[in-house]
Amino acid sequence: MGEHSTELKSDWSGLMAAAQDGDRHAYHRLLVEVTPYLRQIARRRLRNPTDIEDAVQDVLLTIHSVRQTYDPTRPFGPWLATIADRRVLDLCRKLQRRGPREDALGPEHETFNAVPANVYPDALLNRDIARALGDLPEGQRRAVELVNIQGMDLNEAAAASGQSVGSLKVAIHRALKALRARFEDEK
Amino acid sequence: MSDIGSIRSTEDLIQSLSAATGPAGRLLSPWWRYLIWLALAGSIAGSSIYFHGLRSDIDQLWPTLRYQLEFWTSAVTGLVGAYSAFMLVQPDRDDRWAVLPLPFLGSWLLTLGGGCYMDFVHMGPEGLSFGTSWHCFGYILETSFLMALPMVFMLRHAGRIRPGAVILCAGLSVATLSSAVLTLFHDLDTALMVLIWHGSATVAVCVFGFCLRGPAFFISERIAR
Repeated sequence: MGEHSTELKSDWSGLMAAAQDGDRHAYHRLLVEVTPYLRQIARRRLRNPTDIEDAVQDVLLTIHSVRQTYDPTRPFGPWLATIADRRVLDLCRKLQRRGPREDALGPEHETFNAVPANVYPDALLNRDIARALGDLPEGQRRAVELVNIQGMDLNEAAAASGQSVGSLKVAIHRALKALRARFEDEK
Repeated sequence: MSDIGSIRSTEDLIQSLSAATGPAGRLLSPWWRYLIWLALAGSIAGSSIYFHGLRSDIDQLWPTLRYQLEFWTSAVTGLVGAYSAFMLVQPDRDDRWAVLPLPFLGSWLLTLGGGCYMDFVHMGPEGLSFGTSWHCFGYILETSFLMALPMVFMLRHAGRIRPGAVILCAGLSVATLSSAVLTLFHDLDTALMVLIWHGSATVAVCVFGFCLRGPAFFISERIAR
């Protein structure tokens, strides 16, 4: 393992030297190969997968910005390990400073650009209604979506769905009755 | 780098970095970069001495042990501090370079402390008299700033690795070198005044440097691009 590790590091040293000379393939290969090692270093101090990935990306950016400081006559391992340790530690400090002033976001705070996701202010209620709508027969669900959610009048909804106005009225009536019964039961 | 800001996955980032890379000139060894900076700092110090002229009693003072000790402990603290800063910029060098200037700093302070004692022995309580010398304070700040400009630019790669340690070594270096240069053309009445005014100016340079290390390295990086 030790021999393999030494061999890898000496290979990384060669790749970095080539990258300093402008070899993009060598640089790409080097960054891909060091990434799991960087994740391993980040995992020693961080738990949250997003923070770990942020730390890895920060280390990669730092490697890029200080790559001219690497001396190919010296081992690559200590150079890389110091950069990784410093950047991960820096991120930990930032998270510690920021932590007490921030609250984690829950699903109820989520919002999206698309209109349907924001029709109801309460995402949890939105989810329950979406589930209840999904359980309705296809015709009733479609009628409620067109008239009650998208706000079409009956003629527009009839044109969009291919159903008659009378059928839509019946479908909406039955759908609302079923939904009312369902939510009253859940209370 | 602007395209890198919008990248989401690590794979995308790697792709973008490797696509954006080109030949990156390797830095000269720390020793050579140190010598280049020393030449710049030497020219600033030389200009300053030329402008102010050497103090009138330099011929009598220079041969004395006390003056030599005060001058050289201050100067060597500056020289060692600068070398440590240039070593610390290299990520693969040992963190312990940061403590190398401390014994020299200690010897400088000890020498000044010894001077206070000698003044007290020779002059009595008057030897510990204390007056203001804003000129000394201002000169050390001003010269330190001039010497620090090229140094911070040359040390800019430390901004994301060891900014605190590097800027403290650099600040100590430029302040103690400025102090040594100042003793060549400016006279203070007692060693206590030298200790207080030169010492406080050195502390001020280090504190300013430490507080401004982020913007200083950031601006240097922007200029280098």
